[in-house]
Amino acid sequence: MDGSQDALVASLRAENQELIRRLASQDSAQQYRSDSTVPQAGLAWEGCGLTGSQVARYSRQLVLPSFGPQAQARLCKGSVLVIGAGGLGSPAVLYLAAGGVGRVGIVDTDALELSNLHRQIAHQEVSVGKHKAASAAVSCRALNSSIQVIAHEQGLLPGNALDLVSAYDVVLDCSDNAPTRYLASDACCIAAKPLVSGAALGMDGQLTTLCVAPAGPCYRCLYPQAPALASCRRCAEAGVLGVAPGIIGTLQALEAIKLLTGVGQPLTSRLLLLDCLSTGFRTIKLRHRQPACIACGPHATITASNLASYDYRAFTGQPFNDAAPPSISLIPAAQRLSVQDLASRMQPASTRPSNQLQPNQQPAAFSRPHVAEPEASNDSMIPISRLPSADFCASGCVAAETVPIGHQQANSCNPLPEGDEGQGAKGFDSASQPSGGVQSSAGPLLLDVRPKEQFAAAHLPGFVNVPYQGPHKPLPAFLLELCHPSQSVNQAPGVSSVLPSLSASEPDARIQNLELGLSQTPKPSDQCEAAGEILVVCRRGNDSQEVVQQLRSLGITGAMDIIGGLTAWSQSVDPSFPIY
Amino acid sequence: MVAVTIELSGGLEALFGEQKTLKANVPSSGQLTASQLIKWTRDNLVVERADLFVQGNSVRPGILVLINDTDWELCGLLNAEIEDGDTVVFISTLHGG
Ligand SMILES: [Zn+2]
Repeated sequence: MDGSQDALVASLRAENQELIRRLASQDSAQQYRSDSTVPQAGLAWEGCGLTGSQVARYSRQLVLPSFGPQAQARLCKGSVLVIGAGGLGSPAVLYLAAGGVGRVGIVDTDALELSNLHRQIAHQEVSVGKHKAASAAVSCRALNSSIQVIAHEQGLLPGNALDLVSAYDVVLDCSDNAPTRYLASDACCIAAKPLVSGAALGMDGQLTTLCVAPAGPCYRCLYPQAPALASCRRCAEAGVLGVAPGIIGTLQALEAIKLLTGVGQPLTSRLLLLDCLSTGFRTIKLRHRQPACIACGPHATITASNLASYDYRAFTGQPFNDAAPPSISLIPAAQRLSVQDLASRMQPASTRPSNQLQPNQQPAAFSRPHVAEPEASNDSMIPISRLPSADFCASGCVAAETVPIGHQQANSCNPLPEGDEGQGAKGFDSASQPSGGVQSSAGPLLLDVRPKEQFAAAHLPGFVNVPYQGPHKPLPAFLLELCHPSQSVNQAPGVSSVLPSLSASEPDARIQNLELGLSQTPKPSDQCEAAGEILVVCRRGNDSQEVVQQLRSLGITGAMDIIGGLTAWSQSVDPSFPIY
Repeated sequence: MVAVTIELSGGLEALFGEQKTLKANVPSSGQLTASQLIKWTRDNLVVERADLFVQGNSVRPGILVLINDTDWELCGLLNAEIEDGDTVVFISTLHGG
């Protein structure tokens, strides 16, 4: 089958799946929604307000001594607002719907992406591209047609937050950003609604219940000052194990059920910490409501009348979502190249001299592509079909091209076969790598500055992985060597400009190393120009500009940024390169 | 010397060379306060980006401090006394969902 047939079959399959699902939910709706078994006065049986089908459906909770029919009846009459239909919100809404919460509201503004599915289990493949609140609502209705499910697709905003939370009994904060967390808490303080706050990232999870009268703290009691943006990692960059938010979101549903029914003790003035690596849970004792709190204290200044005009973006310095950072323009256009320019500078695999690479070999980390063959001159575009495709990672290729620099230097003009184990496993991540002369040869040096995990997942051939670790980390020694072949970078003096509180009388070798990348401002020399062209690529084209700026500040005038990074490469040159 | 177990959570371990638990003997002439411990930790245990751990004379906003599993707000904040054998946990608040 060719590609277009594959696509047709896939789309028909998806359509079929969707129709089957709709049909099933209609059938079940007819079967379970109209309840003909309501107890009739004076007839056969009496209960505690539950219908016959509710008794049957929730029987395993009804027979539970510590829960029972009264609690179930409160659940069936109760309502929960879930802010965020992502990794936390997905299991939460499913358990709330399954457990019989009478009305479930789902707030989200995002469209579902393929990279959400590993953790956002309320959604299906067929919903990719669709609205998350609507998609999660469909799943909840399919699970339980006897409850009311409402999708609030406009999201939680200062202008609607109070109305939204006021319309529900309990609120779950399943959001992914600081502004929404403060807004949800402020609105719940004003409306006097308990707020179950969950968060997860990487291998960690956190859970606490806020705004529980009379003494439970709110989010601002715990965090009166917003954290710096640099302290806030996003799932898209830091990663998240799917089950981590799954566990926390499930616990959020548990807390909501307890709050609605009065069963058990709410997790108020306590914080639960989840460590997935050790499968460890730990609960710590938190402060009570703070008298000076501007949201829940006796002299609160955030009120029903001014909540809508509170500037959460300004307070937190962050947007109301965890979207990718906006593109920056840090360096002049003359120091930037398009992905098409990059394509024209990369040598297609088919034109590589056969004595350099066997068909299944990857180019070595530090090898520069040799002078382009006449038919692949820098001025002519290479047909896409002839471009080297991404090295998709199957197994065992983790950072295969992240080769220690000492090894590379010995082989700088002599490509290594791939999988040279023991050599390729270690990345150069500090200035302590051995330094030596780097030969300049024709063709650009290709640097990929993404974290090594991302590089290992997919990268372009010929690129060396030099993870950029922020402006406070030094550049690898070999890059500094391009400019200063004779200077030992390990002995360069550091200036403690970043850590002014460290007094000069207590020098710290680590700090000196940290400072290396910035404090060194050698004069440009012939060596710098001899370094030739260095093309720097990252995920989206932001970090790469910082690296280019850093390299140029060291006098390496051939450093060029690739605009838009590998995301632009995928969009404009090779769609088979995965966007993640 | 005061023997203190220091634990990191919520991503703060990245500033401590990816270590989640550290045992430290903190020099102290008299009683050791949380304030002194924070400064000593910054100077001796933080490996990188100390500015993400400390701001002014306290921890950065968004970091909770626990002394023996209790919010330091309940123990006197910067003046809280750290005793031999105590466990102090620094937790960075998470926002992901
Ligand atoms: Zn408060």
